[in-house]
Amino acid sequence: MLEIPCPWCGLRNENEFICGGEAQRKRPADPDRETDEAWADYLYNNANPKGVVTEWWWHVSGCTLWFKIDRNTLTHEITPIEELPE
Amino acid sequence: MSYQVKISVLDDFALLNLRGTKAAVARFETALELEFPKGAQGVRVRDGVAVLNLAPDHWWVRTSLEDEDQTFTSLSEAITIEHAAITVVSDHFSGFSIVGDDALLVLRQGLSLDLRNIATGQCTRGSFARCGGTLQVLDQGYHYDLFVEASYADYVSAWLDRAGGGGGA
Amino acid sequence: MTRLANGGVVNRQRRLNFRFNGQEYQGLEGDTLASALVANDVKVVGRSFKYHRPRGLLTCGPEEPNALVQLLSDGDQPNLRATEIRLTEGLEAKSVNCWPSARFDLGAVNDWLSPIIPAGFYYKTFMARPWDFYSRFIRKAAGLGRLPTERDRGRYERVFHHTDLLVVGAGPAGLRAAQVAAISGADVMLVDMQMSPGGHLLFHSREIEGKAGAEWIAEVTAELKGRRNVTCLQNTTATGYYDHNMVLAVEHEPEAAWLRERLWHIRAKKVVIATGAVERPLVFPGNDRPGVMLTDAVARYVSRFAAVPGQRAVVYTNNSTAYEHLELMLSVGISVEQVVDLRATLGEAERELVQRNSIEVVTNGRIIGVEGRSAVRDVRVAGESGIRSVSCDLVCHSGGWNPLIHLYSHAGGKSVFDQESATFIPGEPVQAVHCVGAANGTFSVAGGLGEAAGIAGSLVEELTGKQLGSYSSRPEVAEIPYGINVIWPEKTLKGKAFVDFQNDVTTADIALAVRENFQSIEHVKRYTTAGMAVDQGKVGNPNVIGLVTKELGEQQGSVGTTTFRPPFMPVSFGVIGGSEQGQLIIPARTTPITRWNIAQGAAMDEAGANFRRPFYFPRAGESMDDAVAREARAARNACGIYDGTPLGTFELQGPDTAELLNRLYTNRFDNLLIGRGRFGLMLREDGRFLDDGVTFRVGPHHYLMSCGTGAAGVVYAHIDRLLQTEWTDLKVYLVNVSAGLATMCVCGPYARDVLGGVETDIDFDESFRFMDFREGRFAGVSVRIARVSYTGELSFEINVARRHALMIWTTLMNAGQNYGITPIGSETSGVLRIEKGFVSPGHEGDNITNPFDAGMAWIVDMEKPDFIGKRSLRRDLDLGGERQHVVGLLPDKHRALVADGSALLPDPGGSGRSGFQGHVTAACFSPTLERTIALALLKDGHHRHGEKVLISGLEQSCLATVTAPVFFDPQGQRMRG
Repeated sequence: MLEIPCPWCGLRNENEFICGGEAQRKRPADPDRETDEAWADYLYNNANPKGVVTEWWWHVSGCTLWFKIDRNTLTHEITPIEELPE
Repeated sequence: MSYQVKISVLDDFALLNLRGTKAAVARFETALELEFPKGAQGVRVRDGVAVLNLAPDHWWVRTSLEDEDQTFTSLSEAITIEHAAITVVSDHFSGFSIVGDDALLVLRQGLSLDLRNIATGQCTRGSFARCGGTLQVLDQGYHYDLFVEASYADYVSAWLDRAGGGGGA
Repeated sequence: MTRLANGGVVNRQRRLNFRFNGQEYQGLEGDTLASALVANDVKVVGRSFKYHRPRGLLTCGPEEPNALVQLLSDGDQPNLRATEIRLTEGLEAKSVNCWPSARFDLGAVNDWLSPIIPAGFYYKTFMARPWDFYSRFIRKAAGLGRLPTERDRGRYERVFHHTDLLVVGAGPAGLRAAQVAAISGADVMLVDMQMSPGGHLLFHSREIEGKAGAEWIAEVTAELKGRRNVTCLQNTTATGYYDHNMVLAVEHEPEAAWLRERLWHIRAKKVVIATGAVERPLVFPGNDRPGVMLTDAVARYVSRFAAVPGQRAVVYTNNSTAYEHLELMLSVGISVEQVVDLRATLGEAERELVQRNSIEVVTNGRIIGVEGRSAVRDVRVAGESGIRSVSCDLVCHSGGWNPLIHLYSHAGGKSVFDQESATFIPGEPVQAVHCVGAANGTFSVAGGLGEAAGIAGSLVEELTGKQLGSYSSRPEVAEIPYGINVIWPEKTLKGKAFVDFQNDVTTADIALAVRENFQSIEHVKRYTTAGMAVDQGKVGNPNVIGLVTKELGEQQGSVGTTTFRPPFMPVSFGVIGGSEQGQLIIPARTTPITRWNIAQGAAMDEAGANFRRPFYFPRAGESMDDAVAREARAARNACGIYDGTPLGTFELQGPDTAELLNRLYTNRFDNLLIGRGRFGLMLREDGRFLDDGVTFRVGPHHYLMSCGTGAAGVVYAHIDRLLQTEWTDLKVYLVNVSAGLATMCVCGPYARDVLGGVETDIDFDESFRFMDFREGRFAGVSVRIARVSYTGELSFEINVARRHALMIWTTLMNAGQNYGITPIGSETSGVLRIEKGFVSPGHEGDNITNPFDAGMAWIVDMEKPDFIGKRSLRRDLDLGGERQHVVGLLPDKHRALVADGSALLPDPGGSGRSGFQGHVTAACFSPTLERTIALALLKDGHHRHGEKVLISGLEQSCLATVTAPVFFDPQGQRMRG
């Protein structure tokens, strides 16, 4: 049961959150311009690193903030990287 | 045999959900004559009106049912061009009060957050039982108000009864 | 009886009656079932798993492999260890795995068959016939214990707890760690699985820091109890270590008397493991015979329970700790016939001790055989002067110590082999875990105390930022320095020498596995099943690893261990469920109308997002089909009413809401007028159905979105995610008001008449167009009423605050009396929608179907600059090819029974097509058409209207005509007029 550091609420159990996947996947600004390959890559492919990955997490049971953290996929060590939004 | 705790349904409360930019919040503050809490777990109370800070741009105004309409109107009229959303959510939530020496022994069965960190006069939101809950601490270790989504009220009522050591389901 | 007249921590004034294997016995308050059996001279406590050999107690603790019992007097629980059962008045237990009894067990034939049933034999046999033939017999022989047939009536609880420092184990090291840490004021939690604190000091009297062990325990415990920042739990087994220092612990018999057990989820900032070590057996032929026990166990039964397991003992050891118990044995009248020591020379302290007590010692000695099947009679000892038989009724052996490093291993720690103590100890610290004392391979009590103080001190410094100062110097404890030399038995010895007692794994099985080329310890474990029984190899694993290493010819310690996984001890299902049992397992969600539905006798079930919904309202004597038909006819011909409160409803407010809606839906929303609603379709980014629903414009920048019950959570997440992670510049606030807004729908030709009969300032005449909404007063309260239809009939949805819902419902039911108003359930709604061919994302939508396939091109505006799913739709269009389309099906047989999901095959009468053509997405009997209808996905369906296909069912198939996917009022006149 991971402990996730929400920037607003502090440390909470994993079950209060939903993982939003890798943060490096950003929706293309103009999807119409993407080739089929690039679009499929955006839809389906993850970097899936062995090591640190930057991820979105959503504090759905708490303050409902979406935020990013760095997580080590081998050790589960988590590093908060976001300050509170202004 | 059960825990020393009394659980009852809260029947007189109104809740208004506020979202807004800094400019909108300034308007809210003027309308209610009350400075809003601006930090996690913050609550400010004045004359029967409590303002709970649930997220960086998200507050609840808690008042009595009688004052619901008037509070909604004064907040709505305070906003001119600012980006804000004021929604009456009194019916969207059901409230329970948990009072007694063993209040934490009941709550710790459903809340997985660190209750040592929420002091008297504070609030928070988290996972509770199998739904979720908003907790307002009236007296740490002794008196808590818990709000859950109304469709879960029957379930939470049975859950609290069982957690308190009663028959439950 | 072999109970001493004095000594022990048992209460001789309180005799307890109990039954074991059908026989009556007496024990004392303070006994475990095991110690009471020892005191009653019961030698055979069970039969082994495979060979059904008679077995006696091996240990005095939870690591016990032999004494597994079924506890008949308490929940009929199987496979409990007799060493862990507190003796109570009227207790009744029996050995598992023997029939008819432990003394005379027919399964013992397996022992004689053993040459043909070595490890892994089942991989090489049972091949002549299909497995079913053999499984009947094997099923009877397999397994241990029997499942209770009664439901567990115990009450359980699960709690979450946070602490700064968790100490596991209240032996001397754990107590010292907690004591030191508590001084800092940090929150400390101490858990221990025994009934009282003290660890091994409960069983062995020792002097610590100038005090008797018991006195020392009492003082430290009192100090801890006096501190407000310390929580002590006895009878609590820490059973698993998970991510980020989450430790699960099971508290047995908590002080809340209505609870049987409590499961603690403990989140600690730091954890100290002081779980001690268990003694390791020696490996020799006959080491499983009743009366052959671990030396430390014998000492425990004698000193704590005043129960003596034998009168004439032979002690067999490869290390110094066995000598610590010799004087105790002599003092209670056990004659130590001989000490057989595998080592060549003894340590100084050992030598002094045996000389002082005139004990005969054979060095370089080995036990090569044990006589006595139900009770040991004598042993054959091989020494420098040859082989001798020694008569005895008790063999005490000691092969070293196994630190209990399970929790450390769960946390991800890798153990390392310590050559000097010949055992596996924790390696580098992982997470925030630190091991101290015997658990860390520090077998000296003084060493453990010093280690614990040091670690605890530095941990609380980290936690509090405060310097503690050094606690105390190395404390005085009287003990013999530890020395061990591991020597393995020769292969040529006759007789079974066991390494895993519970699964009956012998040295021969290990040798066989290695001969068959299993070289990794993981493979040997699984092939021989060593370490895989209920005891999970607590006493046996290091012997298995050591033997495998020897067989492979490797250096001791080079072959690693298998990974320990939670739970450390068996955990009851009841405590895992906690208080969420029975009705509380699923959080059934309700609306204000739910009770009314139940009172009306509705057939209730779950329909999306845990809501309890009425599926239909059967009247007396009605079947489901009857009820559904009646309700559907009422909706089409008179007036139906249903509760739509579970639907998701969201408020969207802000200047950019229209733009957001344009990007979310496939159709345009920027031109929606205030006071109007529009049906919208939402896709996923891959162009597949997400949800659909009507969104109303309530004000210039204020919209109300509705979506399906089951999809509400997903849609909310979808929109919130886009607003917070992608389109952060859009000024829109999203608020979920689903539960607060009750929705009641009145539909049918008389809908207007019914509503007109209620006191209101709203006009329901023709000026109220399809997709309009109006606000006003209705039955004395504020409402919003919209003209939307999910049934295809003239339909009005009344939105009102939840607090007024039941009143409005009752008002409508009364107003509709004269019009035959009929509540309709989910089953009926389903039939009505199939008749109209309204596409349901949950039925016709899948991971392939796009809106064009579903005949919904009319709602997709590809001219919009961007919407979620547009790019994927463009790919579908570019790719072309044969696709499945939504069609209707009219079976030739009007009353055909068609199941959802039925495959569609080509018309056998000739169609030029072959293979799978599609499937039925939803089928029902239509009361309106008086025949079976279905919606389906069919290859190239748009172009095949009028053709026939074969609906392939499990029991019957039928031909059907392909039609447009609408069976009633195709123009939608009834709902739009």
